[in-house]
Amino acid sequence: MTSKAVIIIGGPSRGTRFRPLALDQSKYLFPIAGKPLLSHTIDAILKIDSINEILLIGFYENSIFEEFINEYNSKFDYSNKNCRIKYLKEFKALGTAGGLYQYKDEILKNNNSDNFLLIHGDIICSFPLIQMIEKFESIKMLNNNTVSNNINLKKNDLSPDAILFGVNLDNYNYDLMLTMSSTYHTSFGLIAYDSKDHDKVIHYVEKPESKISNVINGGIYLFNINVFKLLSKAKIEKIQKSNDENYYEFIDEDTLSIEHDILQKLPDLNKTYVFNYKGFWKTIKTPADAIIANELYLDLIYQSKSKDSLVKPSINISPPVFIDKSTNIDYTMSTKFGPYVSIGKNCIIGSGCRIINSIILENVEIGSNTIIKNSIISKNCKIGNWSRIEGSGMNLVSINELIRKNGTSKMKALMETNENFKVIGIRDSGNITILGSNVQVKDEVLVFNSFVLPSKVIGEDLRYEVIM
Amino acid sequence: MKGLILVGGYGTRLRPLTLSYPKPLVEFANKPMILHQIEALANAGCTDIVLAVNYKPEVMVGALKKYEEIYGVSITFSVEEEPLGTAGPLKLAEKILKKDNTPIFVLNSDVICEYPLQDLLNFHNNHDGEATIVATKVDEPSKYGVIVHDRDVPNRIDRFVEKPVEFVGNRINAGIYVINPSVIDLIEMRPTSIESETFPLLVEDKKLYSFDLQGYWMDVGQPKDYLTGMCLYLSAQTKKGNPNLSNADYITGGNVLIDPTAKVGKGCSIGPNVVIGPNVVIGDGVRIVRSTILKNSQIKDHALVKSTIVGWNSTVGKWARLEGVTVLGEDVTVKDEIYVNGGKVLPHKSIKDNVETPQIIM
Repeated sequence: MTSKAVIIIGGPSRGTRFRPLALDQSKYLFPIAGKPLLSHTIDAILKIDSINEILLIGFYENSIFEEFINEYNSKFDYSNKNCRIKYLKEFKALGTAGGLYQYKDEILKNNNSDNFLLIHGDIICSFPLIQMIEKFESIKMLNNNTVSNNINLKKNDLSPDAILFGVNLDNYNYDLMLTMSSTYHTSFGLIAYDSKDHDKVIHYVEKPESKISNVINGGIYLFNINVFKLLSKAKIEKIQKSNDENYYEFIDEDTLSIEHDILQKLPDLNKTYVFNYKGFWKTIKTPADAIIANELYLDLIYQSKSKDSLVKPSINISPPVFIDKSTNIDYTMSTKFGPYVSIGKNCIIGSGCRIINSIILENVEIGSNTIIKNSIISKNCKIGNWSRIEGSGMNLVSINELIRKNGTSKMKALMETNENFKVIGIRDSGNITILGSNVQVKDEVLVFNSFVLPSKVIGEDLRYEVIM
Repeated sequence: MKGLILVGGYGTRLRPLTLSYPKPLVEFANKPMILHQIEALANAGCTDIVLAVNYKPEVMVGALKKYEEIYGVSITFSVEEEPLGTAGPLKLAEKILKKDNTPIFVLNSDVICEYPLQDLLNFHNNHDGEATIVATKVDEPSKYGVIVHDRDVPNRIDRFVEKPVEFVGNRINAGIYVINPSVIDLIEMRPTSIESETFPLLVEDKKLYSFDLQGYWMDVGQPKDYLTGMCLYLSAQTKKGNPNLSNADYITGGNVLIDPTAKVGKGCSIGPNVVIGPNVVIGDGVRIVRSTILKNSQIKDHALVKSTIVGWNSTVGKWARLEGVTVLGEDVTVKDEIYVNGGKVLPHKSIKDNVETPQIIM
């Protein structure tokens, strides 16, 4: 069974869209629903019992993930779990598959199966990884049965080349709405498949100009280890091209791409299948995406067995809400939090506050009677009494409600034309408010749809501003 | 003694409040605006008060009836068929105003100030002119008509200069006059202006004087000025030591007038410069600054109300934020957590979405 998983996490020069939040740390360590973004992915992988190594590949400095990884590994030691997390640093930005190629030996070493899991670190979804593995195994089984009837097939060819994670946009899907469905196919890879043949992939195209399928590449793959043959081949071709004096384009022979060098080649080999997924799915690129991720993950936790990690619903709590146990909240005067609120460690929050659809990081102090909505408050911020920190964008729940009322097409038209229908995550995230770390907001001050970079003192109302 | 108050039209500048009540009945500092003037006239010994209006709402007649008794005055409505300007109404009400030979006070109804009418009358009686204009000093005289005094006779007006380009003085007409009955004879029965037609005649005859107003002065005919005028009025009350000002422990910065029937919750911070009307209910943890809350309204927990007029019977939801000269008309509801910046909200509306920029909510 599958024993190795790889998470691709890029590097610091890639996370610029996550500013001002990524100024302090990697976006992968940004806390969502009570734990770092990366932990959601890792914890989903750890549900696969046979996993014994998780490799993080990127070009961040080693120190960035050191503490994060050590914490996991000591937990494994403590619970006698046979598992390790390891960070593998690329010598430079190597594209989506260059790191894979560089660390091929690490992936193949002690691999107890003929496959490995590969996940892009910045995607969020419910991670049905076990079902993907089951699909891999069931196709193998199927071929095994076929083989008994057909001796021409070789035994080691029974496994599929890959199971791709296809996000089906047929039903309403958050990302569909958020990226305006009329153009979604230009920003994703599209997968065409044969539904009569176990969803076998017949064509893959990256960011096409026309819409050939309703299933997009969701950035999770269960690869047969023989994909390294494809990578080797691609590598050799690149080296040949770069040495070819007649070839006019510059070729960086170090970089490789999953999309071009693997995915586009696979359909022709006729052994790649798509896992058809219909749940929530999103890539986390901007801070507004983090607010959406917070909403989706809190819902996921609230509906799962680990619900107890959230705060119990009450007159003060409209679920789902995560509040770290070390945080101190004055509930004496009709405080109300939620839905979709995550509050980190060691915060102090005064009486009569209202927080909705927001992420509050650690060591934040908030005065009394303050309202925070659709915002991210970074660590060590100090916010006064009767302040209002607000982003005016609509969250997913309110979009869903409006869609139910108006229908998708009318809703789309409203979003495009009406100022009141600004959706979080669209148009450069201008409809949320973000306070960088160590920002101070004085009593009664309004911060509306603004970004404040770290260590500023805000004494006057802000509307639609970026404060350097 | 007699007084005439120039009320004029519907008070459209003070909409949406004046969509529900005629402007003279809109409360300023918990008292109908016109009552500030009626009170001042009664205190100065007036027994006959004429309200010059170009419409006559029954609600006003009824409302003012009771004040006739309280102040021992007779209030007459002088209704213009067509707007007669600032001088025409004097002619129209000639019968009452000229019934004896005592001077007549003329007040503009939008003006809020100390009304030193007794001092004004003494001053008037001690000069040889036919009329006295109350003058107030302003910082930027270039926007107004400026009074220029005679070089030889103190306080006698030599001329008016409309919007002077060069500094000629900073006294402007404060819209308060005292005139002798004979001045009415200079006015023809047609729409005419006392400032630009009658006074120049008196200036020519060297019969017009000005009296310097001490303290604040404000035309409160529109919401922005209503709030500024409220601040000036309340500061003056503090200076005078008005015992009606609140000194409760939730008061921040003083200048707060709260009707005894209003209720205020725990952990509030009210002030400076706030007026809260009768039967208003303020919840817990509410912050109010530089605002008027008219009667029977409710401000729910944790709301912030700043530079706002909340109309009668309105409700402001929990954690709502009103600011930027927001005016709620009568019976308006602002839902919980809503932000309203400079919204002018017509009566009986319910606000469910943020109002980010100043606008009229129909």
